[in-house]
Amino acid sequence: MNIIEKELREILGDRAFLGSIIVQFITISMLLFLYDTYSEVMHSPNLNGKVIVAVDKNNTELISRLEDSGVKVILQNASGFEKPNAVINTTTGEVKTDPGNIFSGFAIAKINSVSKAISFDEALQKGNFSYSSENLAGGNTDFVEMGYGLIVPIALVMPAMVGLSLSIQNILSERKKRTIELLLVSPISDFDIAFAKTAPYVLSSTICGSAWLVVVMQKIPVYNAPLLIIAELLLSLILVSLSVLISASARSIQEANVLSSLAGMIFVFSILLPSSYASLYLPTILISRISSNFPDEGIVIGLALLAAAGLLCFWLAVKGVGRMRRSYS
Amino acid sequence: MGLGVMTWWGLKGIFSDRRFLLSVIVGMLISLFTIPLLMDAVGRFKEGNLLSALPISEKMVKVAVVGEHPLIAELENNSMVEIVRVDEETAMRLLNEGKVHGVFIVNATSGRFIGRSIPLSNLAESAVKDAVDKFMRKDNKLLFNLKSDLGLEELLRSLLAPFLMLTPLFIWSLPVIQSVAYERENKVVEVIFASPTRRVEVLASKVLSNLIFSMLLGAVWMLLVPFFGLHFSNPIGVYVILISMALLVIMMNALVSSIASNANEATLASSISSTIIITLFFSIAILKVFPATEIAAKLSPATYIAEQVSGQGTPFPFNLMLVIYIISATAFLLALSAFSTESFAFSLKPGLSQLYEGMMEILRSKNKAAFAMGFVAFSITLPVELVAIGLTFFLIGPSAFLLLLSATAAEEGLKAVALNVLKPTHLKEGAVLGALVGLAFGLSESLLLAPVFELMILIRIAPIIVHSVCSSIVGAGYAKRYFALSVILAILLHMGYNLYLIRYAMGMR
Repeated sequence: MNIIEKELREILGDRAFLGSIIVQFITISMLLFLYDTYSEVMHSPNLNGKVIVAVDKNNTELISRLEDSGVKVILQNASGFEKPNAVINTTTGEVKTDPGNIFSGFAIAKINSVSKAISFDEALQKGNFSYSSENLAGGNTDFVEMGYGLIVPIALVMPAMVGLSLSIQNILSERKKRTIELLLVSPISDFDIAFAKTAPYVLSSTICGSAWLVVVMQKIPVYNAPLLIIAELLLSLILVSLSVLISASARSIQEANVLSSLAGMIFVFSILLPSSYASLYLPTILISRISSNFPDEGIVIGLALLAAAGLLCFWLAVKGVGRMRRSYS
Repeated sequence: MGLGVMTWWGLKGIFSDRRFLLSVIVGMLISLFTIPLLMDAVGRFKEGNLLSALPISEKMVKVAVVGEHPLIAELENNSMVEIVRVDEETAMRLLNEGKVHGVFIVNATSGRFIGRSIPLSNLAESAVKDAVDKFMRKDNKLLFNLKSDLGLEELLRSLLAPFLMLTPLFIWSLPVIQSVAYERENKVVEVIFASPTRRVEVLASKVLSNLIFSMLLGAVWMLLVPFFGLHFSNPIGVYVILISMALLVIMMNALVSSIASNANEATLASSISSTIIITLFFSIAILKVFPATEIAAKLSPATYIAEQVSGQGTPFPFNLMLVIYIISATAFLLALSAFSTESFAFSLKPGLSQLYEGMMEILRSKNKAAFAMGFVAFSITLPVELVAIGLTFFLIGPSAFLLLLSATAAEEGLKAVALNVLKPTHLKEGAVLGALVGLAFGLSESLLLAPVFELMILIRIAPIIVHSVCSSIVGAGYAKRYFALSVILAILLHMGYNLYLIRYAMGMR
């Protein structure tokens, strides 16, 4: 307990940790600002002529739908100084955008939305099918995926990654200063040492993650906050235990740094993997599902797998400490 | 011991660390497999939503389905949706309890979606509408073929390519930290310093062995990358850029390892400096997105790699490479200065004045040191100017005058810092040292900004003179104890010239 207290005091006094909190806060604030601004702009019925789309002929249905969504429509080759963000060729269905204009993304989103609406009406007519909907949320919901799929996972993954990087530096520094030897020759068990080196970082990451969750909840209605905090705790346990394992078994600082870089690369790699049955249990997707769904069997299995991975990593960290102790003795 | 022997020794050290080599290989493999995954994700970026490119919304919404219709199979194919088949009463109960985001009641001729008035219900409804659309149309053809919009997609692809290409540099350039910072902690360098070997040879051998290691890995990397989907118009040009960037990162790592007081600090500082270098070049490359700043994107080697990936046969940026070599040489000189100080042996962090002392020991002339300090000031100016411009932009707004003023103040300020280190004692010395600082700064800037290398002196003679004169004023001002006043005067003079230049350019247009 004394070691945990000492480690916690060191973390709180660590400038790198305090700096990382500021960086994390700025990142989350920026993401929420973008989320809010983009939603506002997309929802605005009149984009003040900022989003301009050119069409090649006078297609009244298309033009009226685009105008209803707040887009200014001009005819292609019309005289004037306005430069369109996108040009639609209604004959071939091709759309060309101007990547140089920041509003081109909005133009594509609006065209996509109108395209879907026209296509849907045609499909209903073709299939002789009637469709109605009720109790939908008002306002723009184009960025719901970004909120739950990106901002919430980032808010929880970032503190865990910071925990990994800080705990690696902590053990490496103790190895270098040889203060770790005092612990290794003492009658404290491998489990206790690994726990003392892991718990403070897991705790600080979880507290940070919970704080970011409160910030995120001001803009995004997140569900199952307690489960998300458990997910954060388990994710931090996995990453911090891995860092204890890496820093205990690496032969040099260089090797430890390379291995921690590899851990980060593997994490990015896993996010890019194409959709499959296994992707449901990837930490980022699990967090996204917990934040948007009522707890179900899939979420319980996901959390159980995360807990199992956490315990396995912690067990490996204990073994790593044992190996370090044997090498010193 | 000669340079060759020590370089060979360093190389043997790198190659004998099998665990490090294995980690490097694993890192390269991960990066290689990331290329097709990321490029595929960019390929899916076609519906106006970057998120559709990544599998982040897996089973994000749950829909209770009441009734039978073949279109439900389409809904089941949507990875974003999880469906539960129940009767109407159960479905409404689940909806009221908040266990599903919507209920879809369907029969042969009609469909009704009931949500919970929350944003996620809208997401579920859009998935239901997509399924109805796909099933009723019997094909996936959309009204507008957004796939053919190659503008944003190609841009993103070409911007990501250099980033992917340069990622392994972080790991390739680690051995120099090991051999400088870690060997100092292990007292190995003390043994080397005791031998009759010059310190410049010791440091150069460490840098050279890491560079050769990076060159070998770079060659392997260039051979493998095309198999994973990245093809270049001029692979040799891209290889030269890659190795030049490796040289820059190695030199920066050598510098931070020589300055840092321990290996941990060196590693942390190295990751920060590498991130700054890559982010800086990446940020400059992104400027090509905006037509007004497209020309500025040429200041980044990443732009050349992006152009090579998109099949453009653009000429090799010789002047840009020369600038990178100047910055690398400057970093080496500073590293050597730190390496030559007494602080290095005692693992103490040297201050600017101690670095200057180390530099004086190497160059043995105040004039040469002033010329070198001009290059140092220039090497730091790019990130500082970007930060200054960025801060002005976000805090005040896009005022062309203020943006120009912040850039000018950053340049003159950095040259003034160099003169503050040189500490000229009398007027003539201050003017000469200032002129030399400004000359080195102006020459480097001209190398970077000259449209054609051969025309550099002809076109850039006036800016070089302006830099020399402004710094000369600051140097003289320092000697006469009017330092702050002279810096303000230099900024005003430089600003006046810049405004005249802009007005002239606008008049020409």
